[in-house]
Amino acid sequence: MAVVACPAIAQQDFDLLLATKKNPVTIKFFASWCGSCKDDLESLRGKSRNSNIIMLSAFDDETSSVAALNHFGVDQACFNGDAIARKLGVRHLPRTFISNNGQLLPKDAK
Amino acid sequence: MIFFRFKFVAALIAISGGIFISESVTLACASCGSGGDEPLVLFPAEAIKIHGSVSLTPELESTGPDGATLQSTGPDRRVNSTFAVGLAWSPRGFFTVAQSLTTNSRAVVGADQAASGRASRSGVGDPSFSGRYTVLMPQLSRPLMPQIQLLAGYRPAIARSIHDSSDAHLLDVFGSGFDEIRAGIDLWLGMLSVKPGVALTATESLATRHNGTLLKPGTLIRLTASLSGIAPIGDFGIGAQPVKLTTGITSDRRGAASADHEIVQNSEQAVNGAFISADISAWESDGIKLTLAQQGVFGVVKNSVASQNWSVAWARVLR
Repeated sequence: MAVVACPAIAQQDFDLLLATKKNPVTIKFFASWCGSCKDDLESLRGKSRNSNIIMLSAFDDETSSVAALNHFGVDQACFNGDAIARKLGVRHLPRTFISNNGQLLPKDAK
Repeated sequence: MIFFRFKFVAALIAISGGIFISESVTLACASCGSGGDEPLVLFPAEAIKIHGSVSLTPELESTGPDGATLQSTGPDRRVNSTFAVGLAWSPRGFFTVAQSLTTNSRAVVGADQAASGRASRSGVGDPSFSGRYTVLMPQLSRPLMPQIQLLAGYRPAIARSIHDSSDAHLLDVFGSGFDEIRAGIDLWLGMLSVKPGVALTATESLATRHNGTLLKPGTLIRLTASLSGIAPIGDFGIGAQPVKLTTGITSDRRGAASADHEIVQNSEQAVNGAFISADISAWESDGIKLTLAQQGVFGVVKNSVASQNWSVAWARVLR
Protein backbone atom coordinates (compact mmCIF):
# COMPACT_ATOMS: atom_id res chain seq x y z
CA MET A 1 0.00 0.00 0.00
CA ALA A 2 1.47 3.40 -0.95
CA VAL A 3 1.56 6.54 1.17
CA VAL A 4 -0.63 9.15 -0.49
CA ALA A 5 -0.32 12.16 1.75
CA CYS A 6 1.58 13.81 4.58
CA PRO A 7 -1.02 16.31 5.73
CA ALA A 8 -0.53 19.03 8.27
CA ILE A 9 -1.49 18.16 11.84
CA ALA A 10 -2.13 20.49 14.74
CA GLN A 11 -0.23 19.89 17.97
CA GLN A 12 -3.34 18.93 19.93
CA ASP A 13 -4.40 16.46 17.24
CA PHE A 14 -0.93 14.97 17.28
CA ASP A 15 -1.07 14.63 21.07
CA LEU A 16 -4.43 12.88 20.74
CA LEU A 17 -3.02 10.54 18.11
CA LEU A 18 -0.16 9.56 20.41
CA ALA A 19 -2.63 8.96 23.23
CA THR A 20 -4.60 6.46 21.12
CA LYS A 21 -1.52 4.41 20.29
CA LYS A 22 0.05 1.67 22.33
CA ASN A 23 3.35 2.68 23.98
CA PRO A 24 6.05 3.20 22.91
CA VAL A 25 5.52 5.11 19.66
CA THR A 26 8.47 5.82 17.37
CA ILE A 27 8.38 9.23 15.69
CA LYS A 28 10.77 9.72 12.80
CA PHE A 29 11.54 13.15 11.33
CA PHE A 30 12.72 13.07 7.72
CA ALA A 31 12.78 15.10 4.49
CA SER A 32 12.97 14.27 0.80
CA TRP A 33 16.11 16.45 0.47
CA CYS A 34 17.90 14.73 3.36
CA GLY A 35 20.58 12.38 2.02
CA SER A 36 21.36 11.19 5.54
CA CYS A 37 17.77 9.96 5.84
CA LYS A 38 18.35 7.30 3.18
CA ASP A 39 19.48 4.52 5.52
CA ASP A 40 16.72 5.32 7.99
CA LEU A 41 14.02 5.09 5.33
CA GLU A 42 15.55 1.96 3.84
CA SER A 43 15.34 0.27 7.26
CA LEU A 44 11.56 0.86 7.27
CA ARG A 45 10.94 -0.87 3.96
CA GLY A 46 8.26 -3.53 4.31
CA LYS A 47 7.41 -2.77 7.96
CA SER A 48 3.73 -3.11 8.64
CA ARG A 49 1.50 -0.11 9.35
CA ASN A 50 0.82 -1.57 12.76
CA SER A 51 4.41 -1.12 13.88
CA ASN A 52 3.64 2.00 15.92
CA ILE A 53 5.75 4.28 13.76
CA ILE A 54 4.78 7.81 12.73
CA MET A 55 6.69 9.63 10.00
CA LEU A 56 6.92 13.42 10.29
CA SER A 57 8.23 15.28 7.26
CA ALA A 58 10.06 18.45 8.21
CA PHE A 59 10.86 21.59 6.16
CA ASP A 60 9.69 19.83 3.04
CA ASP A 61 6.83 19.95 0.56
CA GLU A 62 4.18 17.24 0.78
CA THR A 63 4.58 15.88 -2.75
CA SER A 64 8.31 15.34 -2.34
CA SER A 65 7.89 13.77 1.10
CA VAL A 66 5.32 11.29 -0.21
CA ALA A 67 7.53 10.47 -3.21
CA ALA A 68 10.47 9.75 -0.91
CA LEU A 69 8.44 7.39 1.29
CA ASN A 70 7.07 5.51 -1.70
CA HIS A 71 10.51 5.32 -3.31
CA PHE A 72 11.73 3.37 -0.27
CA GLY A 73 8.52 1.37 0.15
CA VAL A 74 7.79 2.97 3.54
CA ASP A 75 4.16 2.40 4.44
CA GLN A 76 3.58 4.31 7.67
CA ALA A 77 1.34 7.16 8.74
CA CYS A 78 2.86 10.44 7.65
CA PHE A 79 2.21 14.04 8.68
CA ASN A 80 3.82 17.43 8.12
CA GLY A 81 5.90 17.96 11.25
CA ASP A 82 7.32 21.48 10.76
CA ALA A 83 5.77 22.99 13.88
CA ILE A 84 6.51 19.92 16.01
CA ALA A 85 10.12 19.90 14.76
CA ARG A 86 10.56 23.54 15.76
CA LYS A 87 9.01 22.91 19.15
CA LEU A 88 11.34 19.98 19.80
CA GLY A 89 14.40 21.90 18.54
CA VAL A 90 15.07 19.51 15.66
CA ARG A 91 18.03 21.01 13.76
CA HIS A 92 19.35 17.99 11.92
CA LEU A 93 17.72 15.19 10.06
CA PRO A 94 17.04 12.36 10.46
CA ARG A 95 15.90 12.49 14.09
CA THR A 96 13.99 9.84 16.00
CA PHE A 97 11.92 10.39 19.15
CA ILE A 98 10.23 7.84 21.34
CA SER A 99 6.89 8.66 22.90
CA ASN A 100 5.84 7.06 26.16
CA ASN A 101 2.49 8.20 27.52
CA GLY A 102 2.75 11.32 25.36
CA GLN A 103 6.22 12.31 26.58
CA LEU A 104 8.65 12.67 23.68
CA LEU A 105 12.30 11.93 24.21
CA PRO A 106 15.13 11.72 21.62
CA LYS A 107 15.94 8.12 20.87
CA ASP A 108 19.57 8.62 21.90
CA ALA A 109 18.69 10.44 25.16
CA LYS A 110 20.32 8.97 28.25
CA MET B 1 57.03 57.20 -16.91
CA ILE B 2 54.04 55.42 -18.48
CA PHE B 3 56.01 52.16 -18.47
CA PHE B 4 56.87 52.65 -14.80
CA ARG B 5 53.22 53.28 -13.92
CA PHE B 6 52.02 50.18 -15.74
CA LYS B 7 54.73 48.02 -14.16
CA PHE B 8 53.82 49.38 -10.74
CA VAL B 9 50.14 48.70 -11.29
CA ALA B 10 50.86 45.13 -12.42
CA ALA B 11 52.84 44.54 -9.23
CA LEU B 12 50.06 46.00 -7.10
CA ILE B 13 47.50 43.78 -8.75
CA ALA B 14 49.67 40.71 -8.34
CA ILE B 15 49.99 41.35 -4.64
CA SER B 16 46.42 42.40 -3.97
CA GLY B 17 44.99 39.63 -6.12
CA GLY B 18 47.05 37.15 -4.19
CA ILE B 19 45.56 38.27 -0.91
CA PHE B 20 42.01 37.49 -1.91
CA ILE B 21 42.50 34.44 -4.02
CA SER B 22 44.46 33.00 -1.12
CA GLU B 23 41.82 33.92 1.43
CA SER B 24 38.95 32.54 -0.60
CA VAL B 25 40.60 29.21 -1.31
CA THR B 26 41.23 28.63 2.36
CA LEU B 27 37.51 28.96 2.92
CA ALA B 28 36.55 26.73 -0.01
CA CYS B 29 34.14 24.08 1.04
CA ALA B 30 34.33 25.12 4.67
CA SER B 31 30.73 24.04 4.85
CA CYS B 32 30.13 21.57 2.08
CA GLY B 33 26.59 20.78 1.30
CA SER B 34 27.41 22.77 -1.77
CA GLY B 35 29.83 22.82 -4.67
CA GLY B 36 32.31 24.23 -2.22
CA ASP B 37 32.58 27.96 -2.74
CA GLU B 38 31.27 29.37 0.52
CA PRO B 39 32.49 29.52 4.12
CA LEU B 40 29.02 29.06 5.54
CA VAL B 41 26.00 27.37 4.04
CA LEU B 42 22.72 26.59 5.75
CA PHE B 43 20.82 23.37 5.20
CA PRO B 44 17.02 23.55 4.81
CA ALA B 45 16.34 22.69 8.46
CA GLU B 46 18.68 25.41 9.76
CA ALA B 47 17.40 28.91 10.45
CA ILE B 48 20.32 30.61 12.23
CA LYS B 49 23.91 29.42 12.11
CA ILE B 50 27.23 30.86 13.19
CA HIS B 51 30.71 30.09 11.96
CA GLY B 52 34.19 30.82 13.23
CA SER B 53 37.47 29.83 11.67
CA VAL B 54 41.18 30.39 11.98
CA SER B 55 43.54 29.79 9.10
CA LEU B 56 47.30 29.90 8.90
CA THR B 57 49.25 30.55 5.73
CA PRO B 58 52.84 29.95 6.84
CA GLU B 59 54.50 30.93 3.57
CA LEU B 60 53.50 33.17 0.71
CA GLU B 61 55.34 33.16 -2.58
CA SER B 62 54.42 35.76 -5.20
CA THR B 63 54.85 35.04 -8.88
CA GLY B 64 55.06 37.33 -11.86
CA PRO B 65 53.43 37.21 -15.30
CA ASP B 66 55.80 34.48 -16.46
CA GLY B 67 55.24 32.33 -13.37
CA ALA B 68 58.68 33.10 -11.94
CA THR B 69 58.94 33.78 -8.22
CA LEU B 70 59.11 37.46 -7.35
CA GLN B 71 61.36 38.90 -4.71
CA SER B 72 58.59 40.03 -2.41
CA THR B 73 58.95 42.55 0.38
CA GLY B 74 55.39 41.91 1.56
CA PRO B 75 54.19 39.61 4.35
CA ASP B 76 55.53 36.08 4.32
CA ARG B 77 52.98 34.68 6.76
CA ARG B 78 49.31 35.32 7.37
CA VAL B 79 46.80 34.31 10.04
CA ASN B 80 43.18 34.90 9.21
CA SER B 81 40.22 34.66 11.59
CA THR B 82 36.72 34.77 10.20
CA PHE B 83 33.36 35.06 11.90
CA ALA B 84 30.17 34.56 9.91
CA VAL B 85 26.45 34.47 10.62
CA GLY B 86 23.83 32.87 8.41
CA LEU B 87 20.10 33.59 8.50
CA ALA B 88 17.56 31.62 6.49
CA TRP B 89 14.36 33.23 5.29
CA SER B 90 13.00 29.92 4.01
CA PRO B 91 14.23 26.33 3.69
CA ARG B 92 15.46 27.34 0.23
CA GLY B 93 17.15 30.69 0.85
CA PHE B 94 19.59 32.30 3.25
CA PHE B 95 21.87 35.28 3.78
CA THR B 96 25.34 35.26 5.31
CA VAL B 97 27.56 38.01 6.63
CA ALA B 98 31.25 37.35 7.18
CA GLN B 99 33.98 39.47 8.73
CA SER B 100 37.66 38.62 8.92
CA LEU B 101 40.54 39.72 11.08
CA THR B 102 43.97 39.30 9.53
CA THR B 103 47.46 39.31 10.97
CA ASN B 104 50.25 39.83 8.47
CA SER B 105 53.81 39.16 9.53
CA ARG B 106 57.27 39.09 8.09
CA ALA B 107 60.67 37.93 9.31
CA VAL B 108 62.85 40.88 10.23
CA VAL B 109 66.44 40.69 9.07
CA GLY B 110 69.09 42.49 11.10
CA ALA B 111 72.03 44.47 9.79
CA ASP B 112 74.09 41.28 9.87
CA GLN B 113 71.52 39.61 7.57
CA ALA B 114 70.53 37.25 10.40
CA ALA B 115 66.84 36.81 11.25
CA SER B 116 65.99 38.82 14.35
CA GLY B 117 62.30 38.24 14.92
CA ARG B 118 59.07 38.99 13.17
CA ALA B 119 57.17 42.20 12.53
CA SER B 120 53.40 41.97 12.40
CA ARG B 121 50.25 44.05 12.00
CA SER B 122 46.62 43.10 12.51
CA GLY B 123 43.48 44.58 11.09
CA VAL B 124 39.95 43.83 9.93
CA GLY B 125 39.37 42.84 6.34
CA ASP B 126 36.56 43.73 3.96
CA PRO B 127 33.21 42.34 5.14
CA SER B 128 31.32 39.99 2.86
CA PHE B 129 27.56 39.84 2.29
CA SER B 130 26.18 36.81 0.43
CA GLY B 131 22.93 35.14 -0.39
CA ARG B 132 21.93 31.76 -1.79
CA TYR B 133 18.70 30.38 -3.14
CA THR B 134 18.05 26.76 -3.98
CA VAL B 135 16.10 26.66 -7.23
CA LEU B 136 16.16 22.86 -7.39
CA MET B 137 16.09 20.80 -4.19
CA PRO B 138 17.70 17.35 -4.15
CA GLN B 139 15.31 14.41 -3.95
CA LEU B 140 15.80 11.01 -2.33
CA SER B 141 13.45 9.56 -4.94
CA ARG B 142 15.62 10.98 -7.76
CA PRO B 143 19.26 10.56 -6.70
CA LEU B 144 20.72 11.78 -10.00
CA MET B 145 18.89 15.08 -9.83
CA PRO B 146 21.32 17.75 -8.57
CA GLN B 147 20.68 20.46 -6.05
CA ILE B 148 21.05 23.75 -7.91
CA GLN B 149 21.70 26.97 -6.02
CA LEU B 150 22.13 30.50 -7.26
CA LEU B 151 24.42 32.73 -5.29
CA ALA B 152 25.26 36.40 -5.15
CA GLY B 153 27.50 38.49 -2.97
CA TYR B 154 28.87 41.92 -2.32
CA ARG B 155 32.12 42.88 -0.64
CA PRO B 156 32.65 46.59 0.02
CA ALA B 157 36.18 47.90 0.10
CA ILE B 158 36.38 49.16 3.65
CA ALA B 159 39.69 47.84 4.92
CA ARG B 160 43.05 49.41 4.19
CA SER B 161 44.41 48.22 0.87
CA ILE B 162 47.72 48.19 -0.90
CA HIS B 163 46.81 51.55 -2.39
CA ASP B 164 46.85 53.35 0.95
CA SER B 165 49.41 51.27 2.79
CA SER B 166 51.91 53.06 4.96
CA ASP B 167 54.04 50.03 5.83
CA ALA B 168 57.24 49.32 3.92
CA HIS B 169 56.40 45.60 3.92
CA LEU B 170 52.65 46.02 3.29
CA LEU B 171 51.87 44.47 6.65
CA ASP B 172 48.95 46.88 7.08
CA VAL B 173 47.14 45.64 3.94
CA PHE B 174 43.92 43.84 4.83
CA GLY B 175 41.52 44.65 2.00
CA SER B 176 41.40 44.63 -1.79
CA GLY B 177 40.76 48.33 -2.39
CA PHE B 178 37.84 47.58 -4.74
CA ASP B 179 34.15 46.97 -4.14
CA GLU B 180 33.34 43.51 -5.47
CA ILE B 181 30.13 41.99 -6.76
CA ARG B 182 29.86 38.24 -7.16
CA ALA B 183 27.34 35.93 -8.79
CA GLY B 184 27.34 32.26 -9.56
CA ILE B 185 25.76 28.86 -9.66
CA ASP B 186 26.39 25.81 -7.53
CA LEU B 187 25.49 22.20 -8.34
CA TRP B 188 25.67 19.32 -5.92
CA LEU B 189 24.68 15.66 -6.15
CA GLY B 190 24.03 14.98 -2.48
CA MET B 191 22.12 11.71 -2.75
CA LEU B 192 25.02 9.56 -3.96
CA SER B 193 27.52 7.81 -1.71
CA VAL B 194 30.31 9.88 -3.27
CA LYS B 195 28.89 13.35 -3.73
CA PRO B 196 30.27 15.48 -6.55
CA GLY B 197 29.80 19.22 -6.56
CA VAL B 198 30.78 22.09 -8.81
CA ALA B 199 30.50 25.84 -8.42
CA LEU B 200 31.15 28.56 -10.98
CA THR B 201 31.33 32.18 -9.89
CA ALA B 202 32.23 35.50 -11.47
CA THR B 203 33.49 38.42 -9.40
CA GLU B 204 33.49 41.91 -10.81
CA SER B 205 35.61 44.59 -9.14
CA LEU B 206 34.30 48.11 -9.50
CA ALA B 207 36.65 50.70 -10.98
CA THR B 208 38.11 52.87 -8.24
CA ARG B 209 40.42 55.86 -8.30
CA HIS B 210 43.56 55.27 -6.28
CA ASN B 211 46.31 57.86 -6.05
CA GLY B 212 44.92 59.70 -9.07
CA THR B 213 44.64 56.65 -11.34
CA LEU B 214 41.34 54.94 -12.16
CA LEU B 215 42.11 51.25 -11.59
CA LYS B 216 39.98 48.24 -12.34
CA PRO B 217 41.05 44.60 -11.87
CA GLY B 218 39.81 42.16 -14.48
CA THR B 219 36.81 39.91 -13.91
CA LEU B 220 37.62 36.88 -11.79
CA ILE B 221 36.16 33.55 -12.85
CA ARG B 222 36.41 30.79 -10.28
CA LEU B 223 35.60 27.13 -10.84
CA THR B 224 35.47 24.81 -7.82
CA ALA B 225 34.94 21.07 -8.18
CA SER B 226 34.68 18.75 -5.19
CA LEU B 227 33.96 15.19 -4.15
CA SER B 228 32.80 14.22 -0.68
CA GLY B 229 31.87 11.05 1.10
CA ILE B 230 32.03 9.27 4.43
CA ALA B 231 35.56 8.35 5.46
CA PRO B 232 36.03 4.56 5.87
CA ILE B 233 37.41 4.96 9.41
CA GLY B 234 34.27 4.29 11.44
CA ASP B 235 32.54 6.74 13.75
CA PHE B 236 34.54 9.36 15.55
CA GLY B 237 34.25 12.07 18.12
CA ILE B 238 31.63 12.96 20.66
CA GLY B 239 28.39 11.19 19.84
CA ALA B 240 30.25 8.76 17.55
CA GLN B 241 29.43 10.37 14.23
CA PRO B 242 30.87 9.48 10.83
CA VAL B 243 33.64 11.70 9.48
CA LYS B 244 32.96 13.31 6.12
CA LEU B 245 35.92 13.79 3.78
CA THR B 246 35.88 16.33 0.97
CA THR B 247 38.52 16.96 -1.65
CA GLY B 248 38.52 19.33 -4.55
CA ILE B 249 40.30 21.62 -6.95
CA THR B 250 39.91 25.28 -7.73
CA SER B 251 40.75 27.28 -10.82
CA ASP B 252 40.97 31.06 -10.68
CA ARG B 253 41.34 33.15 -13.82
CA ARG B 254 41.27 36.94 -13.78
CA GLY B 255 41.28 39.06 -16.92
CA ALA B 256 43.62 41.94 -17.57
CA ALA B 257 43.43 44.98 -15.34
CA SER B 258 43.00 48.50 -16.62
CA ALA B 259 44.45 51.82 -15.54
CA ASP B 260 42.73 54.98 -16.77
CA HIS B 261 40.81 52.79 -19.24
CA GLU B 262 43.98 51.35 -20.76
CA ILE B 263 44.66 47.64 -20.51
CA VAL B 264 47.69 46.82 -18.38
CA GLN B 265 49.74 44.37 -20.39
CA ASN B 266 50.52 41.00 -18.82
CA SER B 267 48.25 41.67 -15.85
CA GLU B 268 46.07 38.59 -16.20
CA GLN B 269 46.07 36.30 -13.17
CA ALA B 270 45.83 32.55 -12.98
CA VAL B 271 46.18 30.09 -10.13
CA ASN B 272 45.01 26.54 -9.58
CA GLY B 273 44.49 25.10 -6.13
CA ALA B 274 43.60 21.87 -4.37
CA PHE B 275 42.12 21.18 -0.97
CA ILE B 276 41.09 18.39 1.35
CA SER B 277 38.94 18.68 4.45
CA ALA B 278 37.44 16.55 7.19
CA ASP B 279 34.08 17.30 8.83
CA ILE B 280 33.49 16.06 12.36
CA SER B 281 30.21 16.48 14.25
CA ALA B 282 31.20 17.52 17.74
CA TRP B 283 27.85 17.88 19.52
CA GLU B 284 24.18 17.95 18.50
CA SER B 285 24.42 21.32 16.79
CA ASP B 286 28.17 21.78 16.30
CA GLY B 287 30.47 20.80 13.52
CA ILE B 288 34.22 21.15 13.11
CA LYS B 289 36.04 21.22 9.80
CA LEU B 290 39.78 20.83 9.25
CA THR B 291 41.08 21.94 5.87
CA LEU B 292 44.41 21.84 4.08
CA ALA B 293 44.57 23.91 0.91
CA GLN B 294 47.41 24.36 -1.54
CA GLN B 295 47.52 27.19 -4.07
CA GLY B 296 49.73 27.07 -7.10
CA VAL B 297 49.32 23.41 -8.03
CA PHE B 298 49.54 21.80 -11.44
CA GLY B 299 52.15 24.40 -12.42
CA VAL B 300 49.67 27.25 -12.81
CA VAL B 301 50.57 30.44 -10.97
CA LYS B 302 50.64 33.70 -12.88
CA ASN B 303 50.67 37.12 -11.24
CA SER B 304 49.45 35.43 -8.10
CA VAL B 305 50.50 33.71 -4.92
CA ALA B 306 51.57 30.13 -4.26
CA SER B 307 50.82 29.13 -0.69
CA GLN B 308 49.76 26.40 1.67
CA ASN B 309 46.96 27.03 4.13
CA TRP B 310 45.76 25.17 7.24
CA SER B 311 42.42 26.03 8.75
CA VAL B 312 40.06 24.98 11.51
CA ALA B 313 36.42 25.98 11.22
CA TRP B 314 33.58 25.58 13.68
CA ALA B 315 29.87 26.02 13.01
CA ARG B 316 26.90 25.90 15.32
CA VAL B 317 23.22 25.79 14.45
CA LEU B 318 21.40 28.11 16.84
CA ARG B 319 17.90 27.44 15.54
